[in-house]
Amino acid sequence: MPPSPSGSFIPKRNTGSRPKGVHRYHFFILPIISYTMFIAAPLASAALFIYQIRVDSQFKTAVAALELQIKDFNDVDLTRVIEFDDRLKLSKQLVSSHVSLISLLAILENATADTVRFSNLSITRKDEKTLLAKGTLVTSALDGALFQRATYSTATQIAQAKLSGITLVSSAAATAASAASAASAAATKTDINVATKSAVTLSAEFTFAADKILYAPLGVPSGSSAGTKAVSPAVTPVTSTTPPPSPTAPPANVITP
Amino acid sequence: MTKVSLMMQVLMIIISVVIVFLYIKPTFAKIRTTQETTSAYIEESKKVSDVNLLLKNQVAIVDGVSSADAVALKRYMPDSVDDVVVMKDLLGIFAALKLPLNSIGGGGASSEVVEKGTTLIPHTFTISSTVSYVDLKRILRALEVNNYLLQVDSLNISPGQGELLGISMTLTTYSRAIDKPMVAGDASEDQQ
Repeated sequence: MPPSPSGSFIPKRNTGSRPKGVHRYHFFILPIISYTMFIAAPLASAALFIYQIRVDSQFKTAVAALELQIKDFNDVDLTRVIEFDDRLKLSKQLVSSHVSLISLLAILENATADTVRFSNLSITRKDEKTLLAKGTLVTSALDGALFQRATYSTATQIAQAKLSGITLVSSAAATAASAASAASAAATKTDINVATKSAVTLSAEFTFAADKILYAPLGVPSGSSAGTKAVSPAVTPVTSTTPPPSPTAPPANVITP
Repeated sequence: MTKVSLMMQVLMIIISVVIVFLYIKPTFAKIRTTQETTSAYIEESKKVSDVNLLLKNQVAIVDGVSSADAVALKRYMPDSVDDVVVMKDLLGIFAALKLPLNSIGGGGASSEVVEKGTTLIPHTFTISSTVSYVDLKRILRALEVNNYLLQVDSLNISPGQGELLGISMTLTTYSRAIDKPMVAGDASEDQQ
């Protein structure tokens, strides 16, 4: 530890009376702030002014680009494209719901036995997806009606087959009716033959799903086999309940008067 | 000197603050708005550019369709249906098949617009004839392969003389509604 300097002849300055520099320090801060702000504000203004000019230039460029793109747009072309697209969509919709009645008739031909004939038939479009066929079937015996009912129920291309109103007309009544009809009109040989035997009439109602009988344009393979089987042979009964085919029955279940 | 300096400093600060509040701050806001607008314009410009490009591609596709196909499409889906022409076509079909046509009627556009919001206008025709079953199938086949759709909405087959059958059918063809379709309810409201 050094010796105390209190023994020196040199007078000591009282350190307690020395003024503190606290106020000077405060006066130093204000000029710094003021000068900094006074220099920074104009500089920032100048930079901002230049930047604003640049931003305005970018805006004008963007506006010019948009105007150019708008001028490039051709509303005549748009109308053409929309019209073509609209026409194509509507056509596609029609084509996709275009059913073939030939296919429908072919399905009925294939599912109808030789001994059963339609005496009348009415086909209507129930809605876009369904067709309804109503008709009166004529056969010579109840066995034929039974067989036919079984055949229709197994026909996969017919959505629903409903047979009702089965009526058996005896030979005597049929003969009388035949005589009346023969006198009034030129009945065919088939009619007379059926009339002289007992005849069974029944009402049939068929429902077809439109997608099963869609029209297949030429050259396009059909999704339904019915479209290509318009002249395929009729169903041949094989069960024991099957009545023997009438020798005068018309071929391929043609609708006969 | 010290007092003047102090006032000058205060004045410099005041001038700086005034510059900040009267020029820098509003300019910043203006620049921000301009930049946002510029971004919107650039975005819209890109959208229009994309639409233009897409349109050009679509036009190229439409132009790529052969004239024969374009005519066939327009025939299949016309803007309007001339009832007399359709009747004449039906007569022509029966004449080509050498089959008799007992009656033909109908025509006229239905005011009803087809369901599903599409803009199809149906035109209905009725025909009746006396033909054999084989000839009926020939008629149906001819109708199916027609240049425009002749949809058989109903077909009634009844016994005729001898092998012949009396047939009557309702056919429908369609045209495209060019203007926006007006449903029946709207039309009555407009009339009221």
